[in-house]
Amino acid sequence: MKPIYIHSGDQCLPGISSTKKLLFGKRVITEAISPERSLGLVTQGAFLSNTNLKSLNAGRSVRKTSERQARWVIKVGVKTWQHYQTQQQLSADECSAHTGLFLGLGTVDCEDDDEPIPIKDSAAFGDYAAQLLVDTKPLAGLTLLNSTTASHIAQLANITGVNTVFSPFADAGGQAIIEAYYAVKESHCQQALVAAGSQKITPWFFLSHQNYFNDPLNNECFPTESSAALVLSSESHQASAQLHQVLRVFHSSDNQLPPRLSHLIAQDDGRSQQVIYTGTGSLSPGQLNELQQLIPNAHVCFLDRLLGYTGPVGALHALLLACDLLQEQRYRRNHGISYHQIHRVVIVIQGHHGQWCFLSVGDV
Amino acid sequence: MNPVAVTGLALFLPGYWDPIRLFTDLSCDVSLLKMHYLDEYQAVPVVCSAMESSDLEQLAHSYPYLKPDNISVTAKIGTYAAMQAIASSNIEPRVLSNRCGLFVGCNKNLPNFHDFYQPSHVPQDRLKQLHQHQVTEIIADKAAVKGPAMTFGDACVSGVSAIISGQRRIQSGELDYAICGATEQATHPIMQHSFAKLGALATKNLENPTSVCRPFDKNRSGCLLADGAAFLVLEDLEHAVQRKANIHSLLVSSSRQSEAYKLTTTQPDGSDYVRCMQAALRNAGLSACDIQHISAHGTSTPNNDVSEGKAIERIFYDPIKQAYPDGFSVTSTKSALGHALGASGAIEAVLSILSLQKQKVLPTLNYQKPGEGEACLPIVRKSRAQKINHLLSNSFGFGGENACLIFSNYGQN
Repeated sequence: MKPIYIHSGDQCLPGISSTKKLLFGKRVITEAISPERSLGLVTQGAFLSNTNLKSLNAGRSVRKTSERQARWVIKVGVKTWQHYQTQQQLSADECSAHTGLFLGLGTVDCEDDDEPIPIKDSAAFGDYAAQLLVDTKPLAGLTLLNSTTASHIAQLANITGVNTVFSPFADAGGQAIIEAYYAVKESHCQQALVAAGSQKITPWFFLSHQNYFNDPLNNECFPTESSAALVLSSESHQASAQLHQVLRVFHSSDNQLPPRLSHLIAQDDGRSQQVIYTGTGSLSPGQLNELQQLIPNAHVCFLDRLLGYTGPVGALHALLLACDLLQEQRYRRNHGISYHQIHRVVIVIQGHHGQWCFLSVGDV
Repeated sequence: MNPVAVTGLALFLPGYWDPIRLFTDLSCDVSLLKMHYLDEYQAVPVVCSAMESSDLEQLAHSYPYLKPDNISVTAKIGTYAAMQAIASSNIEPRVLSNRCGLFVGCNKNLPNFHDFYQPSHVPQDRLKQLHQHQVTEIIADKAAVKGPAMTFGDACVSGVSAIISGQRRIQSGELDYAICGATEQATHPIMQHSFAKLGALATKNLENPTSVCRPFDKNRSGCLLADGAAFLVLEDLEHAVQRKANIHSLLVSSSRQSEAYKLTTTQPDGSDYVRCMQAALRNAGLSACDIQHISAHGTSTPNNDVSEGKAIERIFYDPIKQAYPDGFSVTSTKSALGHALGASGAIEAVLSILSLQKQKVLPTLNYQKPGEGEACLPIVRKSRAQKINHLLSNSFGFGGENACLIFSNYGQN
């Protein structure tokens, strides 16, 4: 069986450089949000500043056909790929067609200007349609397409292999990681760049997440804008960790975990000691109880309570945090510093309404 | 690559719930494109293939769980097509288990256009429609899927990406069944406005709606948008044979690539399309002369058709004999159906499989001759009987997202 390794990549987070900072007590920086803007659902959020992509030598057309949510993903995706290429001494030509690109993006709800085109109070519905035809920006259609982000990353990183974009709000990044894992394992590509981004925080975001923020399980959560990227390959040189197993299932029960999780845990031979959970603020009491029975001595980290709700990119932040944990442990071991041995980290990603991803990560 | 059996198929297009009836009508030059004077499109009458209220009323009558107005048109028609595909495969949803996955292409799941007008006044529950995975959730629930349930959002290749992902999970032995397809309400006013602004929509002869969309023709002026959904049930071949399933055809190969060229256009010489088609042939262990028919992406836009034409010519035209292989043909059913964006590849997959089963090719309406310097392809002008063992279906999306499928006649294997 071909082993699959994780090569950590870049992250964009408000106020901290990476999830590694969470290990040292740092937190993302939040700002107050007015009730008018948040529909009264939350009082604070963590915001990223815009990026113009000039540092990546992105042309004008890339900047004109992307909005800030896409640009955060383009930035981390291209920088991660450039770093990996340098690290592995890969020439652009020799790896272009053998590299896959897998993105988890949620959806792009609006352009940089997040206010709907204003309409006069007195205007009829039909006038609104006519006004849209005049006022919609010419490139709005491209800006709102998820595949535009994929196209820009492919162009800037010269990636021409297999390519897939996933769009669910909460777990698109988990789907992208799993599809990339299979693509490398089954030799559809030699390495895969995986990137994901949260949705930008706008009134549209709150309109589509009302149920989420009204759920008592999420009462400690606030929305966070962020993006992250990593590379999966069968190359162990300079790898951060190994991705041992992946599992994706549909299981629509509020009180139980998917039964197949026990198979994944069993494959880990009792080595799972750390769980990182993302997708909602917490598991339900029944699910948490079941998890503690499955992995009796495990520590459970509820990532969204530390980082905020990052939606599609939560899976990548969780995977990168697992890599940070394992690397920190390796560093301590190599330098004779006492440490608590973690053999496996299980990442649990819960999407909306029964969509689950599980990843099992171990040291290289 | 091990072949995968197609044991179920279904689609839902405006006025058409039955794939066989659609295939029969398309073979008689029927077009689904017509002029719509909807309030939402305002001043500009739009030629498209849009769901009529009668389609949705009938759907709600037959499937009451699809009636609520917090379910989008995209989700309604997608759920219908998926459930019908499962029914046509003669699998009891109850037997679907961990070994069955759901792979759904859904580019945008847009709320009712009236809700855009004053979004803050819309009841909370109705904006569930902004969730692209809504359709995946409904189908997974209704079909009792317990394996992976994934939602693909890669523009015009969303449906084919979903089919390829399902195919690979069966080939890896992880799944026995994969319900794969896509759904799109591409005529939603937001999409119409966006495509009109981009200049991608046809502008000529709008007064004669059925003549507007003319893929590969000299006088083409752009695409027309369409609503639609289509799903396939893919199954491990051995599993399908064991349970004596009706095997419609075999999915023998696929390819999925990105161009890294430009967002709005492909290489003018078609070289990226060549690469994608050749990869599919290579994966199937087939050569160009093994393919008898191509279901082209053929959007009727100037850029796509010139590049796709050149790519097909480069692979399939024999410069020594100065001819295409005997019996080789190309068609674009978008001439009659319009472009259902993310769902188009899945719809064309269903029609391709029916072409294989019936040994009959569908016409490209309105094709007369290519533009100057463009490839002169053996375009099907009138439906006819044709021997087809292997068929290639192309899907090429905005931003250089390319995918190809190769289906083979089950009897030939």
